[in-house]
Amino acid sequence: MFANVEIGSLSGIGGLIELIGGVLFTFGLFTRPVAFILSGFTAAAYFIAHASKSFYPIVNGGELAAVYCFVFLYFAFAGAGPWSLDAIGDRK
Amino acid sequence: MIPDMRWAPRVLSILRIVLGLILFQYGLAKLFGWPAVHMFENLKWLSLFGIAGMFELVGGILLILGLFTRPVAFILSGEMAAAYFIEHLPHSFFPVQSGGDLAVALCFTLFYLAFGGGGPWSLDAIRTAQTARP
Repeated sequence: MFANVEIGSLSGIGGLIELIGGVLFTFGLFTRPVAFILSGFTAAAYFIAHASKSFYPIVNGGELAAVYCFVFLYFAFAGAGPWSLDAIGDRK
Repeated sequence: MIPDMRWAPRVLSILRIVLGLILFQYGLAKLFGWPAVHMFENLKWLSLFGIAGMFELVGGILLILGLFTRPVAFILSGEMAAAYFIEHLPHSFFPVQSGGDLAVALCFTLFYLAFGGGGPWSLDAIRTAQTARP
């Protein structure tokens, strides 16, 4: 499915956001703004790539996008917790 | 641009409801064949998939209502871990290839709910408010 994806294509730009956002999110750096952007990104992914195929996430394959969208939304409000670079930065 | 942190518990409740709906839908598809998913056709209730569907149907409803959120989330988190190791890991080490990303994401999100609870918009919150009253 991802063979021969052009970096400038919609999927390619999605991959760039996932790559950079995924690294920052893993380290817990700038978690709240990053999670906010990723939440919007996964919502867009749901509506562009999945919603047109069926109303039901289990049929259109968009369950993961839907779960991510709301998980990231929660992180945008709650932050990354104590094991994060954000928490180290706040302590200094 | 950064959302107000005081809303975090309420957003947690929204997240819980979405998780419940997604799991409920898997239970429906596995046990009642609706919405129709090719993979779940002619599923026996007492097969591995059927029993997983019962967990998802009942657990999904309880999560949507926010009733017994912490123990329910703990059990479903374990179910998702089992689903990952039984169904997905044999296909590939990488979740993006084995199709196990959803199971992993649900497993850890539910694990958090087992500690964090279901937030203020839940039957649990109403129950605790009533028992706390003299």
